[in-house]
Amino acid sequence: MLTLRAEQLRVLDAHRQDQFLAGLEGHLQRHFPAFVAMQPRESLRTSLRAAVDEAVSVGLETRGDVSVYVNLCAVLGWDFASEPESAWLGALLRDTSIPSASYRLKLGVQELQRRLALELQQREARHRFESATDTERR
Amino acid sequence: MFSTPLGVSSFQLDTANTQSRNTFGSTPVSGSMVPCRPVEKMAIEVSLVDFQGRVLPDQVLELAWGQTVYRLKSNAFGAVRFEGLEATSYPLTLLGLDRRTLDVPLVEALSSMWVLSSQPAEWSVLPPLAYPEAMHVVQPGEGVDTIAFDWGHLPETIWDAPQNGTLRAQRRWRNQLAAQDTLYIPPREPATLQVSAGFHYVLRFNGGVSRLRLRLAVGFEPQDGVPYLLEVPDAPSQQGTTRNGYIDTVVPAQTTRVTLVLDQGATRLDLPVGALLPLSDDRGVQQRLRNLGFPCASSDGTFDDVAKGVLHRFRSAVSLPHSDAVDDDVRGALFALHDQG
Repeated sequence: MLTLRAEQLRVLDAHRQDQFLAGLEGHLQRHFPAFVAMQPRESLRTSLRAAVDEAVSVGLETRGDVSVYVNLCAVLGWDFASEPESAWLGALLRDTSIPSASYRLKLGVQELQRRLALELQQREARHRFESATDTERR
Repeated sequence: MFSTPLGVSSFQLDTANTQSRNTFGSTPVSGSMVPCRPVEKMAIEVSLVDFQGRVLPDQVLELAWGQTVYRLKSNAFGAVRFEGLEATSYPLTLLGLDRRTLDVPLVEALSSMWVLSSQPAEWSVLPPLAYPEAMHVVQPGEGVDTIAFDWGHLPETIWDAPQNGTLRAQRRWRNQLAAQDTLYIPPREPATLQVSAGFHYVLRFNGGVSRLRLRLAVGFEPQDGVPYLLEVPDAPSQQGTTRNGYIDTVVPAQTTRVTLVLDQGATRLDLPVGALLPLSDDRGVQQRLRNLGFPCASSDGTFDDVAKGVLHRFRSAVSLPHSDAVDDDVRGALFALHDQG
């Protein structure tokens, strides 16, 4: 029978965590390269570790959910939960009147996507308006 | 306007989230797999939105099963999740909104991550909620559109009720009510639909909109064919050109300000919008003078020296004899230029 000592288990856990963080780094590189390019590699790993801790502290339990949480950081900034513009999302993720943390995350993502889509529509409408009237002027 | 530091799009976030789920899945954060106990119960999710996709919180919904109901309120994000259900269908009643205001633009199967439910259903025997007819005493600044939104009705359902016939004859337009007017509110007819476990339903409230009419004029000369952009808080921007000086559109009924952008973006006018008081009210006279470019310093219906000066300018502009009086001639000119225009 294989017996693992506590120290061996700790090393195994640390190894799994490192693998997960490396996976998250690769994921961010693929999907949010501009965000990754803004920070040195060392601080990226530190920020990722803090984001994972923060995600766990709001009750997220799976790596899939934690990775979605990290995506939110890439979109809104590492400190999004305390930034005035996105504080609503931090409050939602900690709102235990909705029992499932995973469901809170889902609702937050839906609302963020609605706001992003609205922002895009407003930006494009302004761009179309300004360029159409420029053309008329010429 | 909401913005993100790097201008990430909704699509980009969606793609990243899908990849997150596929790559990292439901493995616990610690990395150790724990066998889950089998789950046989299912969930139903409901999202409540308005015609522009904005969420509707605090709406009461209930599923029925025999003599019991499972009653929940939509949260701050307009969402409800009924847990622990059998794999069957249930009547769902939306108690706070009249059935004539609703449609169901989307029904979709819940994804595998969300279809099952490990939490218990909260069935109980509760007294039925009643939404009988009522009388609403109008507060300053309220119009039927905003009142209808609060009562879960379409504006027409309230305004066209026979019981409001006398008020209709008095006030002419439904958003020109006087403070202390009394409006009859018909009883709501709750909406009921059959819903199935394992599905997500989007219910759309089609009330809550108000017609907004602006007119661009130099002096009283309407400016035709002027390109404009109308920015409405938390709603899509609208682009067009004026027709006979008019911008005629719909906005959410609760809108209190819009920004009108003109001149290639060089001119931005921040405009208060809302229901008007009737012309019979001197405050309603001041509102219309302001809208026509004759702002009185006060808006409380009193005509001090400044307001009298404004009144003189207006009377002169519409060729009325010099006077301090807010008389039928002034009201007639305001009706023709502003209300009827």
